[in-house]
Amino acid sequence: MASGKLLRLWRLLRLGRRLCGAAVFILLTLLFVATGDFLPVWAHFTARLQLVPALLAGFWLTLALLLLATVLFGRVYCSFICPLGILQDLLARLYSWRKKREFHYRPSSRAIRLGVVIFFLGALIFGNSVLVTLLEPYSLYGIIAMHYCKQGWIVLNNGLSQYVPLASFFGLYPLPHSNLALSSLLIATFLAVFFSVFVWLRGRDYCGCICPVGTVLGWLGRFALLRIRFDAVRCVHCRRCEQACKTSCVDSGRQLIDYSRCVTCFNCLPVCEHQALAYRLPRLIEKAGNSTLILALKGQVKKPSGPPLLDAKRRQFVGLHLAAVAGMGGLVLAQAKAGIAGSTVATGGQEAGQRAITPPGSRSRAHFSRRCTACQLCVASCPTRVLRPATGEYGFLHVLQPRMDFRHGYCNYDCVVCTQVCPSGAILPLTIQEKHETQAGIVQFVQHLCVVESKKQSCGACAEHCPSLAVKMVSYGKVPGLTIPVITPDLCVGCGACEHACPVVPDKAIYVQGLLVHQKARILPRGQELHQQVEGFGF
Amino acid sequence: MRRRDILKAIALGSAAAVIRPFDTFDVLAQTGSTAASGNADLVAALGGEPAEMLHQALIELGGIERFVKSGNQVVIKPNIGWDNTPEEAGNANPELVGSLVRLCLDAGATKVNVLDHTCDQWSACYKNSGIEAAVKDAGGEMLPAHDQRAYQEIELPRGKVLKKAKVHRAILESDAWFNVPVLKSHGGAGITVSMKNLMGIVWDRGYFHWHDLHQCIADICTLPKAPTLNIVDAYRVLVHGGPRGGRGKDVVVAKGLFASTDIVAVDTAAARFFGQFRNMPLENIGYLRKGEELPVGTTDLDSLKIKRLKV
Repeated sequence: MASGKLLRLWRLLRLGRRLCGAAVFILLTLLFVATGDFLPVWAHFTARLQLVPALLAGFWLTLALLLLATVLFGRVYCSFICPLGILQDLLARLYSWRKKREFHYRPSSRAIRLGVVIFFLGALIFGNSVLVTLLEPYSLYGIIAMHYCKQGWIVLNNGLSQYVPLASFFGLYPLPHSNLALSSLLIATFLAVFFSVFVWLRGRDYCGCICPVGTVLGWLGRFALLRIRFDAVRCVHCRRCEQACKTSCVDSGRQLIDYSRCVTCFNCLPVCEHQALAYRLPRLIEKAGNSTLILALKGQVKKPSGPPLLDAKRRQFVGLHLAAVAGMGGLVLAQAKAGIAGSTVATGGQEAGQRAITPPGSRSRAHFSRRCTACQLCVASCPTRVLRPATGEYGFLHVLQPRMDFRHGYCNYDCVVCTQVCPSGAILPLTIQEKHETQAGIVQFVQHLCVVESKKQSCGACAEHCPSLAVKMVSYGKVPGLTIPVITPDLCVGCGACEHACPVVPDKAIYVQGLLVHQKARILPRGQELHQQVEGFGF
Repeated sequence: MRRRDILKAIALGSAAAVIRPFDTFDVLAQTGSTAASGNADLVAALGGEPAEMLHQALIELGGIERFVKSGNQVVIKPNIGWDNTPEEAGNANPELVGSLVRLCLDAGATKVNVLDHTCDQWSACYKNSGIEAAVKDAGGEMLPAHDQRAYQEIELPRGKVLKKAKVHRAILESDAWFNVPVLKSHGGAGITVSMKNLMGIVWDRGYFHWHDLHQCIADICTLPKAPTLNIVDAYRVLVHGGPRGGRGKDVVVAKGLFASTDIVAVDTAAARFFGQFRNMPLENIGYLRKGEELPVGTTDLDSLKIKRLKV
């Protein structure tokens, strides 16, 4: 009677986890698939709930909530909110579609886990870089989603819009692909393949043995109030729970659970036919009547949760961490060097010394690099495709952090989408007025390359695209009507419209030089409507 | 609504017929009473709201039925190049485009598509110009033009520099299409009107800027599928700093409209009109002369039958 009820409760818990995970996963994926402000603002909570972005953005309330949830319920973040975790759950489920896959207990390497965490925290403290990007689970998922979910949808959409009759009636029209880089595509492909294979081989061992967020949450998870606990008397060591555990943290033989790795997926609970597992409070809060249970708990409490560290292992452990710290130091130096290297000013053509431009709202290269986890949400959302993952433009340590690239488009003057979607505070929210006053780069004009100078022909493409009058045309030479651009740099916002429109190849005659620290742009007042009494036609 | 529009048009048209004798600026035009005997080559309207002026101008040109037959697929190509509001005058007037859509549908068009290969991000342009809403209200449809696959390469045997161009298929496949530019200043070309507006039906605009802008503008006007009618919106005129509207750019509410099948003539008329607000000699607008040389039209307004309307 009671056991049936419990079984139903465990199934309900598992169902709840699956539904919540699915909802978060679908919404978050849609966030990456949608462009512009297509989705309502509330859908962004799925990105705002992510732990590392919240930490970087200084969303302390979100962070406190996540940590509190972990102390109360265990690593729920990993199963309910983390998109990479849910992706691995989905893959694991896919792999056991035909034939049930069985997992078994495996100890984790404490040295690797700690090493990764130290590396990760060091990278966070000393300035964000590829080390954070390539370990942080939300960003890893973001990279995969932007390259595969979004581009996949675009391929499908474009097929539909071409071959389905009345496609335009349903609002289907061809979409351009995001502004990808070869490096980003390679990294995304590597990640997609890595996780597909790794989940096949080891289930969610990434979450248990590598992920730094998982390890930190695991420290708290070990002391969680509600935990999955063994009833030693009831357990018959049938290993069903162990086989169901995707993180390989249940040891049915010794009746142990490595709580630092348990992601509270609840898969082990409903499979136990003897009610030997329960997700419940510790003994202090329970009724003291059930003596067998208390004994069992006592026995469990005394046991260490991980394998003991041997002397040799300890030495290895210390050595590894020393190496990690040394590595960090080297990286910091390399970063400092890269920062200086980026400050040359162009003299000749555009390619000679153009410095990469961080998106408006990112304040400075330093602010941006420190906070951006390269999740690609801004790249995916950018309606004009001006944002593109960097390869070496910020230095190779900051690969995949987005930069402004004017090959396919330019930054729309009245668009603030990227500043609104960034969950980690790398691109801070701007109002349209604030954006107009933000100078992310400064226009540079190379007159000898200009069509007007070199061919003595009219053009004006740069000035016509300039939204802030930083580029305008003035009379030039003796040819009637011939005009040449003049620039007013303090009006420039660095949107790149002029550079995009300039027809000169290969080096543009007008381009935007990135600023290491964004400045305030002067803005002109909005135009007036002059009501003039027009009497004649003029002809 | 449509019936009311027609009635309004008829009422306004007859009102205009009454007012005509008092139009003292009508010096160069043909004698005042020829409206019934033949259609004007070029109509210039002044002083009214965009829809009113359009209705009256079309009456002078022989009515919308002269251009749109029952069952026709119609395309309208306004200037929607910029993510501007209607007040910033970077784009054609939405009210004008909307009422043209309605007129075409009333004349029996089965479908009216509106498109432009925009400079700024296309959906923002369509939306913020107010044109999307006006067109949908009137029963027309907005067609995206940001995808290269929608364009088809055509030969321009009469072109001097531009020998071929990729033109939007909807234009090439239409039964009739209207070129609806907005009159405004242009940093590179002097002013932009009907001829320059054809750059918005072409895929690769960079080629124009790299290979003698004025000649390419004239060359694209030789396309075999010439616009059925050019209707120039001069309701709000961006006198300085065009073609993009925005900060630091004042707009004159001039309340003008020009319409003609002769693309060079209508641009010449618009340029003269523009000259009242800012010095703009015709020789500064190189594509006018180059267009006349090809020839795709005439700058000699005196040779045309011009109808001037004060609404």
